[in-house]
Amino acid sequence: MHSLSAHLMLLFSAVIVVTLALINTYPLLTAQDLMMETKRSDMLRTANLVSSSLSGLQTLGRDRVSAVMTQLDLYGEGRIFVTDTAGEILFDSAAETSLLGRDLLRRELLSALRGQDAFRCVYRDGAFESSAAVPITTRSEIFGAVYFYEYDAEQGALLLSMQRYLRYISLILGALTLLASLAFSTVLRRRVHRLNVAISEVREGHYSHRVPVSGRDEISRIAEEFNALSGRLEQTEELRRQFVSNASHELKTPLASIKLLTDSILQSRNMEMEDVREFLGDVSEEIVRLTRITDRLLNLTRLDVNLHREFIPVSVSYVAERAARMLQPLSEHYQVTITCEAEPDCLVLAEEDGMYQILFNLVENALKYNVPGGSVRVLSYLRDDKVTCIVDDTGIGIPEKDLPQIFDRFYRVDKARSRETGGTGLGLAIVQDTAAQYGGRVWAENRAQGGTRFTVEFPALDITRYEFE
Amino acid sequence: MLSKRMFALLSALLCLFLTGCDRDSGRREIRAAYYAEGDALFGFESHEVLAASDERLCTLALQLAMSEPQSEQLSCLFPPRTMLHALDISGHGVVTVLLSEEYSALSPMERTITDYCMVLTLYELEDQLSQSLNGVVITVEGEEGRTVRTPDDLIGSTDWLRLREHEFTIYFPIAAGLLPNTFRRTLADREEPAEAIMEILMAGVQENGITNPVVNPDVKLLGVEVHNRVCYLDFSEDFADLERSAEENLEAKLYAIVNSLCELPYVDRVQFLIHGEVVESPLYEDFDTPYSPDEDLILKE
Repeated sequence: MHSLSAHLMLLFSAVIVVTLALINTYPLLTAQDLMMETKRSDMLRTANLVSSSLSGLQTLGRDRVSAVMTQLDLYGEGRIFVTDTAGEILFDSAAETSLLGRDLLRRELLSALRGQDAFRCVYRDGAFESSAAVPITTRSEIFGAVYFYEYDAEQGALLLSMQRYLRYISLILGALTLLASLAFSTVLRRRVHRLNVAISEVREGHYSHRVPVSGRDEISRIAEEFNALSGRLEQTEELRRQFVSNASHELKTPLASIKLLTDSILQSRNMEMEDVREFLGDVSEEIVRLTRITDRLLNLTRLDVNLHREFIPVSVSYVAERAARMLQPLSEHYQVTITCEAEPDCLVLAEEDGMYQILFNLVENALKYNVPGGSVRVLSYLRDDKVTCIVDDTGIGIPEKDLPQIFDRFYRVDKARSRETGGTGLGLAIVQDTAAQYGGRVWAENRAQGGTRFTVEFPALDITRYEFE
Repeated sequence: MLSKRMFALLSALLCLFLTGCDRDSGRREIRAAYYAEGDALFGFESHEVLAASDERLCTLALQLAMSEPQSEQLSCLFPPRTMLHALDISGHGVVTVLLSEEYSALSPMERTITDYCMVLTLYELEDQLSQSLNGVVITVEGEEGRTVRTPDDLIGSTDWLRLREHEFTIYFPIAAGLLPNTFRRTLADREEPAEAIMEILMAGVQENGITNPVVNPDVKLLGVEVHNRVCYLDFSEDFADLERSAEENLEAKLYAIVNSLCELPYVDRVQFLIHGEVVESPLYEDFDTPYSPDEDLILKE
C-alpha cells in the first residue's frame, strides 16, 4: 500500500467513483424534476380547463357534469373526477370501473375545496404517480372540485432505461478507467524501478550503468540527468584512477632512484668519498623533486576541494613583474632574457599567491624550454573588460598534436628534458585550474617566428563598483 | 368550560355508571380514527376500555373518536360539545348513530371526514362484535336526511384510481372439453383479477357451441379471496346441491373455473367453500380439497 502505483490507482479509483456517482444521479434527478414539472403544468392546465367548463353550471349534478365532460373530449392516460363540496364523486372518466357515488378523500382534493390548486407527483416503482386538483368556483364561491389522477409507467420506463444505460456506461467507463490506471501505474512503477536499479548500480560503483530514456516527461528528464551524473561520476572516477596511477608512478620514480643510490652507497664497502658525495647529491636532487611533486599535488588537491577562499583585487601587472624578478637568477642560468611590459590598472578579483603561481609557472616554463640567447616577454594589458597576460618565448615550441593535452596532469611533451629541468608535469595543470578559479582561462599556441605563446585571460575588476571592507 | 377530552371521559364514566358494570365484562381494545396531517388522511390511536355489550363498546369507541387525540399528528374535527345521543346496532349489523345538532356546523368536506372517522372506528371493532357490520347510518338532530356509509364507499387510496389493462385466458366448457378464450378488462389496482374472472365465467359468452353461463344464475358467489397461492371461492349452498346433478357437464364446468383461475400467476389451486365452510359434496369428487388445473381437458386450437 506504500507503492506509488497503489496510491495512483486509489486516487484514480476515487476520482472515477465520485464522477460516476455524479453522472448516475444528477442527470437522472434533473430529468425526473423536468418530467414532474411538465406533468404539473399539463395536469393543472387540464384540470383548470375542466373547472372553467363546469363553473358555468349553477349546481353540480351527475347528469349535468356528464354532459359537459362529454363535450370536452379529453384525451390522455389520466383519470378525471369531479366531486361536490363533500367529496362525493359526480363524474369518473373511467366508465368501465366507475366510482360514481363514492367519496373521494385525497389531500389534494382537500386543498382544492379550500380554494388552493394542488399538485403532487411521486416517482415510485418505475412509474410517475401524479394528481392535480383545482376548485370549481362561480362568483368566488367553491361548489366542487376537479381531481385529475395519472399513473404514467411509460415515462417511468423511460427514466428507468436512462438509468440503466447510464449504469452500463458507468460500468464500462469505470472498468476502462481502472484498466488504464492500472496500465499507467504499472508503466510508471517500472520506470521508477529502473531508476532505482540504476541508482543502486551506481552506488555499488558501476558508473557505466545507464538508464534507457524514452519520452519527454519528467521521469525521462530525471533519467537524462541521472545518466549525465553517472557520466560525470564515471569520468571523475577515471580521472581519479589516472591521477592516482600517474601520481604513484611519478612518486615511484624518484623514490626508486633514491633507493638505487642509497643501496649503491650501502653496498659499496670502499666507495670514494667523492663518489659518495656525488651519489648523495643525486639523492638530494631527487628528494627536492619529490618535495616539489608533493607540494604541487597538494595544491591541486586544494583546488579540487575548492575550499571557501576570499578573493581580493590583485594587480596582474605587479604580480607579473614580481614573478619576472624572482626568476631572474634562473634566466641568467639559462642565458635567456626576460622583459616585462605590464600596463597599470590590470586588476582581477583573485588571490595574490594564486596569481603569482600562474605567472611564475608560465615564465619558468618559458625559461626552461628556451634556447641559450633566447628571450621571454611578459605582457599584461586591459582591453574590453578583460585583463590579458601573454608570455612569449623563443624556445623549442610544442608539437601541434600535443597542444590540446599540455594542460593535463602529468602530461609532458618531452619526458627526458622535463626530467632534466626538474619538471613534474603538473605546472600547467595548476595554471589552468587556478585561472579557472578566478573566472579566467589559459591557452597556448605556437608562434610563427618560433617559440610558444601562453595567454591567460581574466574578467577585469571594475574598481568603482568593488566594495572595500 | 370543560375541554372536549374531559367531557368525553365524563360521558364515558356516566355511561358506565348508568348501564352498570357487568361481572362478565372484559378489557377491549378500541382503535379510534382521527384526521391526520400526513400522507394518509386518517390515523388511529389505541385505547383499552371495559365494555360488556356491543352497544357499549361502540358507544365508547365513538366517544373517544369525538375527543382530542394524544398525538400531535392527529386532530379531531368534531365541533365542540358535539354529543352522541344514541347508538343502535340492528340485527343485520347496521349501526345507527344520532348526533347532536352541533354536528351540523361542519363544512361538507369536514363532515365527510368525520363521518368516516366514525365508520372506520366502528369497523375496527368488527372482530370484537357478535356480528358483522353492514354499514353506519348517521343522523343529526334537527336534520331530516340521513347518511349511510361503509368503508367501501371511501376512496382514500390510489389503489382504486390506478387502472391497468389485464388479459385473461378464460376456459369455457363444451362437450369435447375446455375451450380457451381471451378477454381484456381494465381493473383498478385495488380490484382482484380473480373476481373479474369469476364475473366473466358467471356471465358466460353468447356464442355457438359455448355453454352459457358456467355457473347457474341461481347460485350466488359470496366471496373471492386468494391466500398462499390458493383461491377460495365461497358459494351459496346451491352450488353443491344435489339438485344440480341433472346439469350437463358438471365436471367440465368445475374445471372451467379451476383452469381459468389457475392461469393467474399467483394461483396454483382453487378451494370451493359453501357459506365459508369446506364441505363434501355428492356432486363432486374431493370437493373438500383444493383443485389443481387439468391440462388434459384443454382443447388445442
